[in-house]
Formats: sequence, C-alpha cells, structure tokens
Amino acid sequence: MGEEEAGRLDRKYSHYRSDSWLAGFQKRASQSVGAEADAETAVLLDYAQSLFEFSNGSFDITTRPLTALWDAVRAIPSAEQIEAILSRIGWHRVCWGGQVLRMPPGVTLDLGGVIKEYAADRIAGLLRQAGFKHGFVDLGGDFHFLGPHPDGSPWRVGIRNPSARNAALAEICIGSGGLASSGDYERCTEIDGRRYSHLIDAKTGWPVEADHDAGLSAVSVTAPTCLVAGSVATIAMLHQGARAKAFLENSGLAWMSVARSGLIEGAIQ
Amino acid sequence: MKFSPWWTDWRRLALLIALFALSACAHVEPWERGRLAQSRMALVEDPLLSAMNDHVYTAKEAASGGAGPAGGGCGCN
Amino acid sequence: MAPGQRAGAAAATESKMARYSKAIRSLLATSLGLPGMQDLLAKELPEEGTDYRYTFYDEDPIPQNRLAFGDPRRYEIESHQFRVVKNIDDSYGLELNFQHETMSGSSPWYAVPGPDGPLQVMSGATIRERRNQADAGVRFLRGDWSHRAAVGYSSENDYVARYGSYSVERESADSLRVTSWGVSYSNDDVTPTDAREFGRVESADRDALSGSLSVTQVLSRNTVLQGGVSLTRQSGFLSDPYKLVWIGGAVIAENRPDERRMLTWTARLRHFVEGPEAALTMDYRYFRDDWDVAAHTLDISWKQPIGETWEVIPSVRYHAQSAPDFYAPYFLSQPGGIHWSSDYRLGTFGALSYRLHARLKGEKWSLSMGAEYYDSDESLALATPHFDSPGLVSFWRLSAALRFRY
Repeated sequence: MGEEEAGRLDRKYSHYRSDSWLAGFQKRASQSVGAEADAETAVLLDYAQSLFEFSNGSFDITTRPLTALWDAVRAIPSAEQIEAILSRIGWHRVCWGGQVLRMPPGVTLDLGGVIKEYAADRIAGLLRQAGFKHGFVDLGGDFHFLGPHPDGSPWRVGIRNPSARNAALAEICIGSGGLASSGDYERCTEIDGRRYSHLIDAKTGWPVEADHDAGLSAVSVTAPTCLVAGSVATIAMLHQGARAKAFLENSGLAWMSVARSGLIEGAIQ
Repeated sequence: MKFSPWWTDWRRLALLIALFALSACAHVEPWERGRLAQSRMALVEDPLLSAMNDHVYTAKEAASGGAGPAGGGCGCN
Repeated sequence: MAPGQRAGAAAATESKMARYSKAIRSLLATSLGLPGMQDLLAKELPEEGTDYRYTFYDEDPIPQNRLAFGDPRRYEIESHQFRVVKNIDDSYGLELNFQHETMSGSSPWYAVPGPDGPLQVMSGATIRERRNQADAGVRFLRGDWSHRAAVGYSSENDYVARYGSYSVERESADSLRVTSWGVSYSNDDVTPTDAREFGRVESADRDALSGSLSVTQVLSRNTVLQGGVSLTRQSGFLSDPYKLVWIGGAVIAENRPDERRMLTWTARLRHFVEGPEAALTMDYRYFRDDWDVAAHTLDISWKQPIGETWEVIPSVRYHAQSAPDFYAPYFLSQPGGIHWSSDYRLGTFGALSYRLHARLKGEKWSLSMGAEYYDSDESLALATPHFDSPGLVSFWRLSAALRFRY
C-alpha cells in the first residue's frame, strides 16, 4: 500500500520523468489560459507559496534551472549566467490564485523539496486509516512515526556523522510525528577547491557554501508532519549560521543542528 | 451542628497543593506516554461499572459524589 | 480523557500547536488540505463502542437475633445497563446510556430498644419495583477544549429524577495536565406508595446543584494523579418518606433538615508497576457535610494482565463514616433538636468490600465477570460509634459485562 502511494506520487510529480503528470501540467500552465490544478496539487502549490513567503524568497520551487547550472559547471558561473537564469525564473513571476496556474514559458516546477516528506505523511496516514498504531514510515531519511513501540518505548534514530560516514552523531528518540533532515554531506559540488551544497538560495542564485566553520552541515527537525519538518529543516539550511538558529528557535519545534565545526546545538532527545 | 467550610480545612488543602507542586518536576516525552494510554491506567476504565458502583454505594451509605456529575437519583431504600 | 490517554493516542494534539510559532501553525494549517493530513493531526474523542452489563445484587437478611419483627429478607436487585458511544466526526461524539432495574425485598423501617441492643423492624411488604433510566450526552472538541453536556431521566413508581450536567476540560500546552470544571443540576419528585394509609407525605420534591473542579496531572511515565473538589447543595424534601423513628414509644416519620451542603475532596492515583506490567489504582474520597457527617473512602485495585488475553483485578474498598447528631436507632425521649432519623445509612459505621474481576479480551470485544462481597459494621468505623445499628447491610454483587469496539 505504501509502495503504491509512493509510486503514484512519483509518477505524478517527478521532475526527472518527462512523462510525469507534472510535466504536462507545467506545459499547460505556460499557455495563456493556464492550467487548472487538482485538489492535491492546489494545496501543494499553496504550501509552496507559504514556504516562499516564510523563507523570504530563499525557498522557491521554480529554481530547477539554477540547480542544473550549478550541477553542470566546473568553474564558478559568471554573474551574467546567473542573472540570465534569475531573470527567467522565480515564484514571483508565477501567477497562482488558488485554482489556475499561469507561468511564463520555460519556467518549470520542482517539487522535489516537498514531495518526499509529503509522501511519508501520506503513507503514514493510509497506514493509520488501515488501523496501524505503531511503527513508522522511512523514505530515505524522511520519517513519519505512527506511534511508539507497542510497549510504549520510543524509536531511536541515529543522525549520521557527516565526517565519519558510519558513525552516528547523535541519537534521537521519537514516538510519533514527522522527522526530517536537511544536510549537504551527501551531495556537494566542489568548485575551485570550495564545496557548495546542492541547496540553492533563490534570492541570490548561489548555493549555500559548505565550507564555513560556523555554517550548518545538517539540521533535523521534528514536527507533527514530516512535510513541515522537512520544510523547516531545508529553510534553516538555506539561512545558515545565526539566522538559522534564530529561525529554528522561533518556530517552537524541536530541532537539532550540526555545524561544520562539529558543534551540535538544539535538542530533540 | 457546625459546618467548617472547605477553605478552612487547611491541612487538606495544603496536602493537595503539595502534591501538585511535586508534579512540576515531571518531564514526560510524548513517546513515553504509551503506558499511560493503556486502558488499565485510565481514570475510569469501565464507565458502566463505575456508574453501578457509585449507584450502589450512594444508596447504602451517607456519603456521595466524587465520581462525576450528579444525577440518576433513585428512591433507593 | 486523561492526559496520558489523549497524548498517547494521537500523533499531535491541537493543544501542542499553541507552542508553535504562528508561521508554523499557518504552514500546518495550509497543508491540512492535503488528503490524509487531517488524520495525522486530529485530537481524539473517546473510543466508540457498545457496552452491556448485567448485575445481580443480593443483600443478606437481617440476622434473627437482631430482628424485632417484619420480613427479614432484604433487597434483591437485577440490573441491566446499556451504553452506546458513537462519534459523528472528528469533533463531535454522542453517548447514550440506558438502565433497567427490578428490585424486590423488604427494607428497614425503624428500630426499637431490645434487651441486648436495638432491634430492627422491617417493612412487611415485599416491594417489587422497576426503574428505568436514560441519559444522553454530547461531546464536542475544539482546540484545547473538550466540552460535554448531558441530560437524563430516571423513573420508578414512586420517584422521578431529572438531571443535566455540563463540563469542560482543557489540556495544558505540554499535554501533561488536564483541568476540568463541571456543573450539574437535578430535580426529583417523590410520590411514596400507600401515602394515605401510612400517613406519608403524598408528594414532595428536592433538587440539587453541584459544581466540581479537578486537575489531572501526569507525574511520570508511569504515574497519573487526579485531585478534585466538589460542592453540592441539596434542598427540598430530603427525608426518606418510608422511614420511621421510635421516640419514647411513639413511632413517627423521620425528619431530616431540608437543606444539605456537601463537600468532597478526591484524589485518584494510577501507577504502572513495571515488573508485573500491572496497574495499581488508588481512589480516596473525603466527604463532609453540614449535617456533620464525615466520611473517608479508600478504594484500591490491582489490574494484572495475564498474557495477551486475560486480566485479573482484585480490589478492596474501605469506607468509614460518622453520624449526624440527629441520628440514633431510637430515642428514649424527645430529641433536643427538630430533626431525627434512624436510617442506618446515616449511622457511624465502617464497611469493607472485597472484589474480584476477570476480563477476557479479544480484538474488538471483551467479556468481564466480577464478584463483590460488602460488609458493614459499627466496629469497622474510625469514629467511636455510640450505638449498635441493627440495620447495617451486607451484600453480594455479581456481574458480567460485554463490550464491543467498532
């Protein structure tokens, strides 16, 4: 049942597949009459809009071309290259009123930043409806915990140490709710001796730098849903440093961060 | 026949307040509440049995209440 | 629902949301439109289901050496209780209760002086009565608050009771405490049988207004404690229209005050014992009223699971009360005050009851059986009894219950 749902979401929203529903939707949205979103997509787009506002423009689902650029280059792209892309994309260029989406031609939607967490929540919801009260859904590091072990003891999740792949940095104990992490120890680009994260700040067009000691290499957040946990973790990573810490503290959620220096802050245990 | 109002029963009041002051030390994580959720830990596990106990004891003794809202009177002899 | 139950059951309760920033709550709210999200965030109403319980209650007869005259066979009662709980949607729930009882037997009338202490006079008549009771309640959840309103009605040939109650509960932000307030009101009419023949009051009424406050606190992962207080004011005809009093050779109707203010303090503890995986429950009640009745009641039980399907619950209850000044089994001369009663239920006595229940649990159903023996005696009292009470009752209670969950 879980696999079916994961498969359904992949077929619908994957930006890798040219035959996904999303691909067709995007094309229709670039026509003058726009594309009408179904209920599920409508809420996802509303949610993406909220995240765009919440992150002051840093989190933006139209930034696929930027990601592609930074993935492909060997040297730092020129300011003109970045500017050229920035002038074509951006959620502020998208017209979304709640039902119909209209986008300028060439703008694409990348829901990768939300779909995996949403899938974890969806599958958990389906399992709960089917009567499951204990257990969890794990989609590659995005979790939704239905309920603790039958005897009441929590699940123990290890947060991987970025510098020592097989060692756990910390252990999180959680009984229910969503747990998501955002970190760049898995996917980094190295250009001119400096490492850059795969997360691009849509405001500047630049990826988050992966070298500063004070910078964060990973953030884990718990929230009632994995979707919100994941979004908050991602936005914290985009903010970096002191700004991220303030952001996390203000949220009222339980969080944990690992700085490049190795400093661990926050507490979920 | 004197009736000392509850607020002058200061010893009892003090004891209850002390019990709740102790509780301020508790820190129970959400995952730890599984035990408390078991039905045998409930305050009222069996409402029908509770109601019947209440009914029987109130009918045969002078004291009443402490178990829930008033009601369900009967002319029990 | 106790904090533990609520918190243990749902992924997150809306009360925790009070801690999250406005932005986070707005994000959560936005995502609620996604299919299935609502389920993950909902707070829970009580479990749905149907319950039935049968009870057989049988009082021991008055011992021959304490009987003056009359039928010594006391009450025998058969009771059927039904309960249905149904949730309409995530915020509303309905509860319906129905009870049907048949009672027969003679009851204590008054006591007379005897060579070795008071002797009990029993009513000759063996009354056979039926009583029906129904009540309906609605639960409503919204945010941190859970409301419950209920109305009910009970009727038998000589007594009608109408009652209503409203209570509201609030869970704290950390879900470790639930505070609950309640108010209830009842209005009863008494129309004793054979009123003219026996010179009883033909019809009278009484009412009661009660308010309560309780706080339930999670003390640790194994312990929950609830403390409560309630105040009740009863007024109207509070005497028992069938009971008489022997005063200096004359037998007249009892006369209790027409107002009674009652106070109760309660404490309930639920503690999980790790080794045997059992629950220890302790309930204590202190009762005091302006008739000068004071009572302590302690009820302790041990709920022991055996394997996955059985549960055995032994329990014991001790109750001790002290009598008001206007109580005595009989009066040799006119009592000083204007009130008098010889109803054994107002006397100074203590009662011990021993119970054993066993439950068999299935996937969605459970069957339980239980037995209780209750014995009351002057010697069990905490206060010093001034008189023997020949009418003190002891009884057996046997019951069986069936429960279905949807």
